[in-house]
Amino acid sequence: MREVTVHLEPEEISAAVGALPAGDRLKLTLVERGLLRGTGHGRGDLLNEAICRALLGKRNCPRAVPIMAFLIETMRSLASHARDREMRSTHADEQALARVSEKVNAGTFAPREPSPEDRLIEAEDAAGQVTLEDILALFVDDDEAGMVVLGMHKGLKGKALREDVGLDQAALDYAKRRVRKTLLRQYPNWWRT
Amino acid sequence: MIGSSRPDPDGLVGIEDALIEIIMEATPEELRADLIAAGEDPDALIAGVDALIEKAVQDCGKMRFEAARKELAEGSRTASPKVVPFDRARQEARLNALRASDPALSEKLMLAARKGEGMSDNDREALLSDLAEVEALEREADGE
Repeated sequence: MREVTVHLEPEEISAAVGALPAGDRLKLTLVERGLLRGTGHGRGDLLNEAICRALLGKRNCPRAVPIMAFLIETMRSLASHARDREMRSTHADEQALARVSEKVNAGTFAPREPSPEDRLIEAEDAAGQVTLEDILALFVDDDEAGMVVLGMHKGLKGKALREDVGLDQAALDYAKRRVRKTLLRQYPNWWRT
Repeated sequence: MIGSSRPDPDGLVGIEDALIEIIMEATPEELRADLIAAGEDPDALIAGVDALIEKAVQDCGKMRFEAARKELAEGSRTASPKVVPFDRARQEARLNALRASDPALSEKLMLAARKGEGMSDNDREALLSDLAEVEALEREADGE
């Protein structure tokens, strides 16, 4: 009798992923969009890597964990590590530049004042950054949905969110659907810059 | 629970995490409707994921196969033939006794030898090893 392992075997992973219904596949690609920000990766990268790590045994899926939850948490983990790498890379670049600046004779290469063009580029970059206020502005005519967004911003869930917003479960669910519809329409790339 | 403790310089992480949960809670029909309202083609998105999954399964299958081939090749290179020690003198004596007691056996052994020219050292060694193995099996059978 074949021994039952604690984790899914690669063949079982392959079968489970292959059997995902269309609705779940849609959810995976939308969730991945939300995790890409700051990672330096493009669409499909996180999902592809999550599936491959499972198939190659580099990441184990416990039998008790639904495949969807496993893939999403794996993508989260990959995104987190990718953001850390991006930040370290940026920090290293800044440190390298700082070291160069220290060695340079200030009289020869003094920092220059930003040109009008530099200021324009800075302003455009700043305008591209989505803020919480920008998101709240989308719900100026929908108080309930706006309150839900504020609750989401505060990390509230379940009963805490219900009480904060002051809605019953049915009304809260409806407000959340309006939030989802509006945000997906307004920010298909989830406010990535 | 889907949560995050990542840095939140622009205050949007909480909204992102909550939006992920809201997406997971949605029915397929609701998501399709949302995407169509946003001007997107849900069927195209699904087809994209289909292709991604198919490619990932194929690529990883090839990688696993190559890794298994490499492991097998390395195992063949490092493996040494199994050598079982035996009492050579004892088996020589047994063989000589057998040949003496059965002249036909002696002739058969000669004919079976490579090119009829008598047993080579390797042939003799193999025969002695086989005799030792037979003796061990007989002892095992007697001991049962």
